[in-house]
Amino acid sequence: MFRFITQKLLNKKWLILSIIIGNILLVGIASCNPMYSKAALQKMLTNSMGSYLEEKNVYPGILKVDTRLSNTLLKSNTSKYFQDYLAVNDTVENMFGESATYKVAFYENNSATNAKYEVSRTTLGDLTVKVASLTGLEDKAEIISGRMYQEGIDSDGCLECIVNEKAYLSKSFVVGDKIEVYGYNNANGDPLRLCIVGVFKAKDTSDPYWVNDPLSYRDEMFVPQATYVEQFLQPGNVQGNIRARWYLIYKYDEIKTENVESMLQTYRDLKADYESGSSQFYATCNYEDIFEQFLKDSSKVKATMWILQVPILVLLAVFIFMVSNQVIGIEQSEIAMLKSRGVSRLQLILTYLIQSSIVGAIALVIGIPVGYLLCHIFGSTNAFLSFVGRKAMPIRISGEALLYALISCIAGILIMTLPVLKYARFSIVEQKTRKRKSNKPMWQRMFLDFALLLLALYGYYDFNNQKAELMKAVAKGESVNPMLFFSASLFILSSAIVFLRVVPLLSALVFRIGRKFWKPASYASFLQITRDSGKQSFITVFLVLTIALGIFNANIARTVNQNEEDRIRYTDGTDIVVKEQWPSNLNNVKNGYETTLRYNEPDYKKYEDLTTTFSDKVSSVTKVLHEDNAGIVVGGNNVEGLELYGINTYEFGHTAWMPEDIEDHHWYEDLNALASNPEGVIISRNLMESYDLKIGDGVTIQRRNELGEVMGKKYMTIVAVTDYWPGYVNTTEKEGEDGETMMVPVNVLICNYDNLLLDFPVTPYEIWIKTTGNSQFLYDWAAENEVTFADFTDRTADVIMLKNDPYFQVTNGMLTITFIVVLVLCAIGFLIFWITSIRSRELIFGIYRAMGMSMGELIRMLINEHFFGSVLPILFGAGIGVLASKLFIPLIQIAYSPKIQSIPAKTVMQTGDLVQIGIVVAVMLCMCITVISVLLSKIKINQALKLGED
Amino acid sequence: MKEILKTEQVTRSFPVAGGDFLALKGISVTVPENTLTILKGRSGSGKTTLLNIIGALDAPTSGTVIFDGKDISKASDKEREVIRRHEIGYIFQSVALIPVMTAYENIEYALRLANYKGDYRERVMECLKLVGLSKRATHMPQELSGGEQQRVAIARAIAHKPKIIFADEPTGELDSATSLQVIAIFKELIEKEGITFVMTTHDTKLMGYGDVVYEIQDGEIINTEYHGKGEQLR
Repeated sequence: MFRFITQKLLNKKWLILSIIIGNILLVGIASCNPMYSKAALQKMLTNSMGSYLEEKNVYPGILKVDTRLSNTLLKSNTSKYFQDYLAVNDTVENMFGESATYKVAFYENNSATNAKYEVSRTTLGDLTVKVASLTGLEDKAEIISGRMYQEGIDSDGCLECIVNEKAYLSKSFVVGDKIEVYGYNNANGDPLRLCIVGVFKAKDTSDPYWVNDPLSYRDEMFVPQATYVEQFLQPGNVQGNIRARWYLIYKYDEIKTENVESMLQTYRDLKADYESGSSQFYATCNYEDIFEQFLKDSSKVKATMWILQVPILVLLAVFIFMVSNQVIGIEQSEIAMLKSRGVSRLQLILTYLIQSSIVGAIALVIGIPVGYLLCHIFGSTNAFLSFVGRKAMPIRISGEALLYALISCIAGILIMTLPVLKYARFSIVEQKTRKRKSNKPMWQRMFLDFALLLLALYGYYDFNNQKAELMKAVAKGESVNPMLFFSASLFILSSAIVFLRVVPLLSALVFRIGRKFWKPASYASFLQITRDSGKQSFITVFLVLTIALGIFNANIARTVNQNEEDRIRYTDGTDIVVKEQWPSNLNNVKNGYETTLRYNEPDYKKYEDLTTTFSDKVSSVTKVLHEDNAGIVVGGNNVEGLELYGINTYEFGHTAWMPEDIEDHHWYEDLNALASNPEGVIISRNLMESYDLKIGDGVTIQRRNELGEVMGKKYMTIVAVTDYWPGYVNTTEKEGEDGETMMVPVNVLICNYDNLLLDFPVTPYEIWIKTTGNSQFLYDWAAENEVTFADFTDRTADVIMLKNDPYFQVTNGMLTITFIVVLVLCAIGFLIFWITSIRSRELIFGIYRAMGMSMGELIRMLINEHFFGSVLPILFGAGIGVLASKLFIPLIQIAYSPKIQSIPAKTVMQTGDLVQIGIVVAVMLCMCITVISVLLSKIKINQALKLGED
Repeated sequence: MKEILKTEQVTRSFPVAGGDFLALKGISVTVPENTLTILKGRSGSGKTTLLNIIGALDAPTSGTVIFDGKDISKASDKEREVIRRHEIGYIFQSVALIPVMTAYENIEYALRLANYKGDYRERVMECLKLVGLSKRATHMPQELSGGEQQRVAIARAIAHKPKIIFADEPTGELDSATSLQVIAIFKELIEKEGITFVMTTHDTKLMGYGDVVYEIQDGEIINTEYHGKGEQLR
């Protein structure tokens, strides 16, 4: 049996190879989902915690429980407070303890207490101290003088303690000093005495163990924790108020994504428990917001990945089914024969199931490494169809990935076996009679294709009407609605099926028009297409699907990337915006030593020189005064908080960027208007509308300095109105009084810089630099020339940050993979179809040849068939792809838009992608025609005819 | 009696593992015009190879083939195509109709290929009438019985008025009654259309209908019989 099956597989090696490729891709793509999303999310989590640390200088992986312990509270054994106290150590140990790097309890008396030196040195008076203890201090502290403390009360009745170097110096301790703490007794009831045995410093200050800077313990006298608990923390015998804090410290780069949810939940439960009733415990954690955001983002990334993956998985399933169908179709007489000889249906199905399983097993073995490879490709996709070398992500073949691989492999096996169910029903007789019938398929008779198309269009209509809601949902952090993608896919699929009806009609039409003129070759091929379209329908649908999906996906990727990059470019204004730290008398003015704020303008010429020293890197430079605290006076009203630009029109026009088609006129026209009127001002449309202004009106502009003092006023004339300006976003988010965030308009004024200088002093301005690419040179230049920037906006860096965002990476990676897979499938499917189609028609070709048809005519006939069978579907597929893009992409891209839309999104199509598809298709067609010609020339007429004799 | 086709010492060898296999070992046959010539022999005897060569589908390894006064043994592929298109018709054992064309269109297609000068419709209907299938003109091949399909194939073979028709086992897949009908049509066409038929068969019952019968065995003519019109050649 096995030999029989392997023999069977080897006989159809090309077809089987195609099926294996299909299955490998299926397994690979399915298994790369969990592998990639895990790695990407891990990276995302670590990155976001890292940037939290960087921005706030607070270690993110910390949970803190805080309370004050006092005798009154710890006495009443039944209080919740007491229960909480009993539970806290347990909680720390069990609820959170497992993955925490450190569990630290920190106790100290709540306020510093007076104490006195026992050894009297004349210079020393009394001092203030806090008795404290920190879990594990012994391991984390390095003794720089003296020795480490020991537990218990020593022979002299003292508790041994250590202090840090700062306390040591400030309090003028000497190792061996003994102090008596007023008002405190030890557990024996004697006055509390401490002996300083050592001075420590942190072994490693970057160790997250040091939640608080070790040097901040200025009053703390650290005693061993066990001693502390024994001496001061016995219920009923607590002296004064003790501040207790329990820290759970997780190394943030060791927190696993799978623990995030449970860590967050445990914290919330604890917090909720403490907040209910009369607990005096408070739990806080640094990672709460990060985790919350992470969970939101990760579900978005995962959902997006699935949504983008489903079409390609379906396409692969269709491909596998198609080729298997082809294989089994070739074997159908064999099947029918076996059936007639008494082989049961079950046995037949089993045979094919084993055959499919062999293929599936091969695919599984190769598919998993392929999936692993795909993950790396994802990780290195920079944009659609473009890759960069990035630091590799820690991708691991997880159990989940294996599970996905196995499921997809089983699905593949079932799909491969599916066609045999159909053929295994018929014996040889039924098969022959069945061959003669060719009815329209069910779905065509029931107009299911049109029904599906209408459904898809309804979906489009519906979503289009709910655009506003979609935007809101996305703003809340939801991912793209899967139904939207489903509608788009359905639209493509149903169009492809509808197209099936069109092909025969179209070819019949062409045929009829030229019936009299057709050469015999075209005549025969038209009849072939018109009357034998059933056989071709699958490849037709497949071609339309692949091409349309390829183009659609390419366009999604292009649109999402382009819009986001445009937004960055627009909001940044240009490639690089820097602002130097200007020397000023700000502090003197603040302290009242001087009254007028003055700045020393740094040398500007060095920036102008950049265009010559870096002529290959810098194309233009301009200074831009850019403030957000300007005001105007209109109709007696003072409007404050306006954005103000002071520009040099010519240079600004050359340096700044904004989309040219964003307004009904080019923005250079506004610049020209401003240039021709030195006293002019361009205002934003929202300002114009709020105060009923119009071009030609005069407004008084008022500027304030850094301290909020009015610098002066100036009358200007409105010369133009605009919605957009490089670097200007016309709305912003503000928290209202009720705590809700709301959108408020931002107004802008743009005037001539030189004109402003006439009435206002020189204040810090930005330098806008347009580069030809990389910005690295400027960092080097700044370091070399000792220029320090207060602000540095780098578009390239902003774009890289965007590209590193897992959401975008997944999108680009998935779409790129889809596109490549589509091309591969398209090429293979195409070749298979034509080769088998020719093989099955060898006899007919023999007849044509015998009747005197020349080889050239025969090839011409096939090319004609090609046109209707392949070229037309490809062209149609391209059309559908473009149409689907026009309809659905404006909706889909909403999912990728930021909350505040600085500039409207547009649908981007790159002819380059079409050309790429075109080239692949052209190569395929040429290859196909070559293969066909070779095949045909190999057909000996007499042999072809002999074929018919069996 | 005029001869339309004549071969002299025709050989044909095929490369096989370990040398050449000589399928025809110097065959000389004559086909008289307006007759039914039968090539008789078991399968593997070389009769189909011979038919392919005299039918301009294949070229001999050596020897000459004179068709209608011209030596076609050295003709190029192109020249043979032209001869096939205009002067020769074929009938095959397997039903070799073009499946996507109706009976009518199958016949008309032969006219198209031969660039027939004259009214297509009239000629197609005439041919269908000759084989007794006028009523089946619009049927697709799969809607016809085996015998009917073979009759359409005959009509198609004669449509463009070729000088000679080669039939390879034309009755091979038919029952004996239908076979006799096919032979009867051949005979009728020889009379009415003035065509010459050359057919191969291994059916001994049909030998009596051939004007000339060549028996082939192992690539050689081992016996020649003459009947009816052929008697005068004896």
